[in-house]
Amino acid sequence: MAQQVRPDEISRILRESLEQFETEIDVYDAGSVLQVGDGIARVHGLQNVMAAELLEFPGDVLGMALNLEEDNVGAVLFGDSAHVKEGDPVKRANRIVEVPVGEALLGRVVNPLGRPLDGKGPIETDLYLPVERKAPGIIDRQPVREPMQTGLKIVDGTTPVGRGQRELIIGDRQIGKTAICVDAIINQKESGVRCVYVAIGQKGSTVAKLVKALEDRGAMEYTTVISATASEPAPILWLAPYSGCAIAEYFRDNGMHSLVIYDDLTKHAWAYREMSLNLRRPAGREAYPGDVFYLHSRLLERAAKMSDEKGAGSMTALPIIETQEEDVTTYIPTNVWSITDGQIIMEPGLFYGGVRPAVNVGLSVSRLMGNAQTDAMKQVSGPLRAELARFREIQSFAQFGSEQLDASTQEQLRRGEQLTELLKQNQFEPLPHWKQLLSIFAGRQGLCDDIPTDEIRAFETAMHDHFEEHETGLVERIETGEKLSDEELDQIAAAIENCKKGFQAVAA
Amino acid sequence: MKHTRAARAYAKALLHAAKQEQSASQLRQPLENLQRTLESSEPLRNFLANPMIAPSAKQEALRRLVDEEAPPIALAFLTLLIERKRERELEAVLEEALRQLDEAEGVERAEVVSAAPLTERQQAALSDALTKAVGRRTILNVARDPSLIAGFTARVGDTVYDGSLRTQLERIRKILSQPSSA
Repeated sequence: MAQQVRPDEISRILRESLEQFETEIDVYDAGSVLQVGDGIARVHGLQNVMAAELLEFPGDVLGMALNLEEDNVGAVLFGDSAHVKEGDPVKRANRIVEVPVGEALLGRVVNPLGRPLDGKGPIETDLYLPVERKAPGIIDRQPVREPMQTGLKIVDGTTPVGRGQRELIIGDRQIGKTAICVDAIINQKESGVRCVYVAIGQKGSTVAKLVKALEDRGAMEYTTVISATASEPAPILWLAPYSGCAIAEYFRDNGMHSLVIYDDLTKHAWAYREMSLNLRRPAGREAYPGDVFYLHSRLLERAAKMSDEKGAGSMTALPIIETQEEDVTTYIPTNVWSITDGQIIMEPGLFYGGVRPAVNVGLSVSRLMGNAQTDAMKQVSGPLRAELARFREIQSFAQFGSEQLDASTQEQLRRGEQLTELLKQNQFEPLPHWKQLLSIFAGRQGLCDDIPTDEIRAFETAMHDHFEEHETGLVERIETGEKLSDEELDQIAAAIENCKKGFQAVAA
Repeated sequence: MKHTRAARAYAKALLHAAKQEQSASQLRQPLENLQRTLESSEPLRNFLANPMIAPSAKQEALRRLVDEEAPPIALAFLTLLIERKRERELEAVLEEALRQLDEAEGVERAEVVSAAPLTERQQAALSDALTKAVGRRTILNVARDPSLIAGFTARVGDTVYDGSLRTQLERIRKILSQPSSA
């Protein structure tokens, strides 16, 4: 197994490496550390340093100049501040903080500085992009027009996400926020959308589990994971989403499509608060610094659908916000809420009631709606959101007893239960567009009304199998995404009826 | 913090006043002497910093310390400094004033650290080379540090000219540990 070590080979490599070396005098700008601690350093000198410039501290610790003051520079350290002492020399690197980008990063797990964490060797790329970049201007953009299929019926049907959109996912801990995103990544296998998952302040074990889940489903091939776990210093956590954004931007700017997930921005805001307070920046509401809105707005503005002249690439962002006790009216959630183009709201009540994904359809919104769906899906799922929202309303007062309700309300209740059942979906099982469309169509047309609620999901699977085997023509027709004619809808309905007969015969 | 805004303002005022009296060039010697005395004498520093000692006593002490031939403005300045209770800033003010003098005269100071002692000729050559590189007359302050192994480093302002063996070995280490060469 171990390769034989050939001494002449080693000396050849060493000789070649040394040939790159030139004995010349190094000229660089340097300052000295005045004070260090809490992941930040104050540096004397460095008169000409740029904002956000990379600094080199002794012991291979990197830093970034942030506060440029009259007689000193405040810098954050991207490493262990225990290695840095007062009086240490600080070198200017003469470049802005940047990360490696490009295809070489797909399939890799890296830290926010682009260094590999997965033991798969160095990242071989000559492409670098600055971590902080300006968002594309108005002329470089165009309206969102293609869907970014998440593979989840409830999302693609009621709050669709378009390529280039920013859709907030918000909810309490442990109710499936990340699960939605992971399913969205897995669903990009055929779509060619490159994915970047940024883990901010999570447990190392959680990130490892997620990487394993993606690997098992072959989703790591087109995915980069940026990991800044809870044990990293605050500046690393703060940097993570910007590096993830830069990696995704490379695809956007080269005519490709990318999806970036920030999990989660609550912890990102905490990290920035910690860093800012240590830098002695004035504290504002909840001790966040004054520019905490700009912190997230400039990040999310970089998601865009580029104009045709710019290659028509796109970058979709799914920021995640974790709430406490379902309170969405606190500072950071309202900030991010107002920046994004819609939100998917998750509720523990639904989650523990067995409705998974636990999306509250009434409050969730996608401001792009129709532009982010195929024409066929738009046609079939049109009023689904409103119907479900009405159902939830009726349901809440029907708890007191439904016998006194009039027939049409009872009908609505029954239909709502069927639809809710149909929109449930297991984790790691994203559905292709045609399967989603069939399920929603069957539910909305009342084609499953005579099937008991607890058998609906079995019927759904049977229906999908039936179409896959016997109705390939219709499946192909739906997959084009174009608007369906009345005859085609009749054909689909007839096929579903047909399948239902078989299903009921087996069940009986 | 050593360099306070006050120190800068006082130093600037001193130079401005000296320039009007045409005595700026004679200011350097007494200021340098005073700086050296302060650096070498901790009792003097404590004496000046002690708020229990009357300002008049401090003024008297400084009067004796300053050279006879110093321009009168230097003494007047020190008296004012103590009157304003800024004696703690004295060191910073002196440093800042000397720096501003250098700037006005177009002189740069270079902190040179070498592994082995430099000969007169080497120093002159280094000074010439730095003068050429910086574009201003450069005066060397030489120190020794054997940990550089061989060669020297020179620091002018923020810019470091590093020709030490230590740094070159460090660079070799980086090149050899670079993954791309494997």
